[in-house]
Amino acid sequence: MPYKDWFYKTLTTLSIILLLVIAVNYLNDPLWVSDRVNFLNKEQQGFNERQQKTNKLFFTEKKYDSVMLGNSKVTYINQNHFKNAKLFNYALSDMRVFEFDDYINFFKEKMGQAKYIILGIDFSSCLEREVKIQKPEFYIQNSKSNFYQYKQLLSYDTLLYSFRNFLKIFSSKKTIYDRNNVKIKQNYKMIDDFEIDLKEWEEDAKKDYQLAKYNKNFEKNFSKIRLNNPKSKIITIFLPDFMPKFLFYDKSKAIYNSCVKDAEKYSDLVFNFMKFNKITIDPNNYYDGSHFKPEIGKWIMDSVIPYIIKKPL
Amino acid sequence: MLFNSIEYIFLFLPITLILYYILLKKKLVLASKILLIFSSLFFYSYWDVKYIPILLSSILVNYFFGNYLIRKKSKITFTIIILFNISLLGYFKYYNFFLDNIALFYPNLFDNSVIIILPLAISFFTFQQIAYIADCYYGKLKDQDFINYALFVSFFPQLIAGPIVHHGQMIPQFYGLRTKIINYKNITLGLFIFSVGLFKKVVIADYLSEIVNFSYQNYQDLSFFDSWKTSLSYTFQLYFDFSGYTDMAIGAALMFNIKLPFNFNSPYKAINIADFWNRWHMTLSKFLKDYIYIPLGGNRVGNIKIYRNLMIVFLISGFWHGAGWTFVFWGFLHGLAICIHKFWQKFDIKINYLLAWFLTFNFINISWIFFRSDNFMQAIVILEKMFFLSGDNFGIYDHYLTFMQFIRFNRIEYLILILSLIALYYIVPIITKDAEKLMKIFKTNRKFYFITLILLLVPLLSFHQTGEFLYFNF
Repeated sequence: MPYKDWFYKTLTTLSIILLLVIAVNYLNDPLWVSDRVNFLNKEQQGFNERQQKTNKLFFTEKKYDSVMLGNSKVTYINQNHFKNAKLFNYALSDMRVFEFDDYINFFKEKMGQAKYIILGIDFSSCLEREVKIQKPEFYIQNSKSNFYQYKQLLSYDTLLYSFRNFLKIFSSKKTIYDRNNVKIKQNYKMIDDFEIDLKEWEEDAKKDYQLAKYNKNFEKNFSKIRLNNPKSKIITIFLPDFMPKFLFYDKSKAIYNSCVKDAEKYSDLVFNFMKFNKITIDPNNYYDGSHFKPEIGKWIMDSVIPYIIKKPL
Repeated sequence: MLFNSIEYIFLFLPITLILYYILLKKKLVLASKILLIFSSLFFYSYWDVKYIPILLSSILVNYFFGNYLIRKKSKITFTIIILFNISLLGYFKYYNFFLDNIALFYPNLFDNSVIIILPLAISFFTFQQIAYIADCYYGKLKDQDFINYALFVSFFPQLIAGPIVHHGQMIPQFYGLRTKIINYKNITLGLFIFSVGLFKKVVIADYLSEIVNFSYQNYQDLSFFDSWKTSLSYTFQLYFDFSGYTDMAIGAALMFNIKLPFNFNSPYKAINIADFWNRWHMTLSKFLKDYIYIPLGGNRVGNIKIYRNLMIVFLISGFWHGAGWTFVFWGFLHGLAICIHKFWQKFDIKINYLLAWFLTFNFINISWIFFRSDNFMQAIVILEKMFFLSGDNFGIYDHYLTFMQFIRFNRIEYLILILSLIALYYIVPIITKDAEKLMKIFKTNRKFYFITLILLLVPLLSFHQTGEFLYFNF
């Protein structure tokens, strides 16, 4: 075959394949670089929330004036339940307190001063834990990097997630995000999916709580958020863990007390749902041993909103 | 800008290529060369614009003093301009190294907190221009045209990581550009060689780099088999990375009808150390031979001086590769090996081909450990683990295998896997071919059509990798 023909044939085939990949990734948008909604992308897997939510914030046309942070429990709280402001749920799986300030700064960079900063805290947030998480800067720089929204289209990885997202439509039991940053688990029941051996669980808890150490940077991280956001209303919510056994042991109870005390020092409002109450003792409120259902998230929001409104900005 | 980036492949290269051929078609040869110079400067400045003045001043100074030396053979001017080049390299590449070493003996003499960032490609363009200046001084050159000279130094395919091109190979090609028009044979071959290089770099070298980086970070925990896997992985990472990058350079240049010299010729097939240096980074070997070894007396001096000269060449080579004692020691090891080889040749004793290859390959593999290590301690620990069985010798960190990181292996499975990988490393040198041979066997048939498509598609779709957060299912 003449060189010219071979060259154009190869280039044409290559271009067609690459364009197909780009088209699928563009339509599905698994990395959330746009606000596009269509039948192919309505169900999204939150496979890397740090990158996805950072992208969402960076590339969206929508305007938000408040931000909510916290770990996976908070990811299940619907941002639209907060009616008093345009809230962006920037909660991330296994989010640590030290990450809060950098993500708030990024939010401010894009959306301006936050009206409300809602921080979701559970007992694990109070503990000193090994850090194996990329710093926020890594994800933020990715989003900001040249041509990021175009480069990610040309990717086998992105294509794989596009297909996975598409296949989610046919799955009955799933954890998904919609295009409005709302996360839900479908067809999960704690009783079916999470069988608890209470005796074993209690032994583990006892062992863990005896080894537990207070997160020595907790106060520092909170004071930094306060210092950097003097005009924002900082609201800390202590979230309901199922059966808060840490209250039974001196060491863990002391950690809990320090945590609440330090949060109170730097927050405008603190709400505590962490103790034994009608939520924390009922397994039906949870998907598993840790994550409460969206209706509980709604109930939390509904409970705190009247107090937030009362306290002037 | 990197060759293995989307910006380069989808924007910079095609746009430059199209504009270049439009200008050539309109017989605007000078404009086409100026286009290549400005594209090269843009290519260079994409990394960091603040180093452009260094590149430009180096080009200007060497060009004007080179032309002066052509007209008037002045030893003082020649010495000054060589010192200028060495000082430029010395300041940017070795400033921190020297200060750190002085600080060992006189801790308060200098402020060694200032870190000088090494401008990209300075080692390459300095060596190329030293060769040019030397040839001007020794009367091998006539007056040069500035545009051709500037293009010779800055031509983007070879600017960052070679091959180290010689003005005698490049400038005549630039003079001849007026006769060149779009040549589909060159463009096709260029695309094919570029795709081979891209695959080598993105798919093979970058994968191996993950194993190597992880292993070198955790070198204290390596087992016997891990340490062999680590050293061999680096040996192949270096080859695939460097030869891949060179292939991309050769391929890209060929698309502009410019032929760059080949830089690798299956180096791990070498059967002695001299053979290795005739196959590995061939343009550097040629430079060191022509501009250091021969001026020192080459083979025309007595035996002792030959050994001395060889050792000087390899110590310089080691120091050129990096500002650190481990690099110097690596150069020393190769110098020593080449001296031993030279001495051995006197006895005219033939050894079995396979044994010769095995000894050579393993020597190279071991010497690369010093090249890669951050310090001597790290290198020694890895070597100890390779040669002295101690502790757990059968794979201790099965949790890290990048291609299947969610799968855990039992010891036997891990051992089989690691031995297969090591065996593969020994087979690869036998089956791989470098650019020169690949260009000879290339045909515009269906087989190469599919091969080229795969070689392009796999890396192009691997540039953007989206890490998965392990906790995301909760």
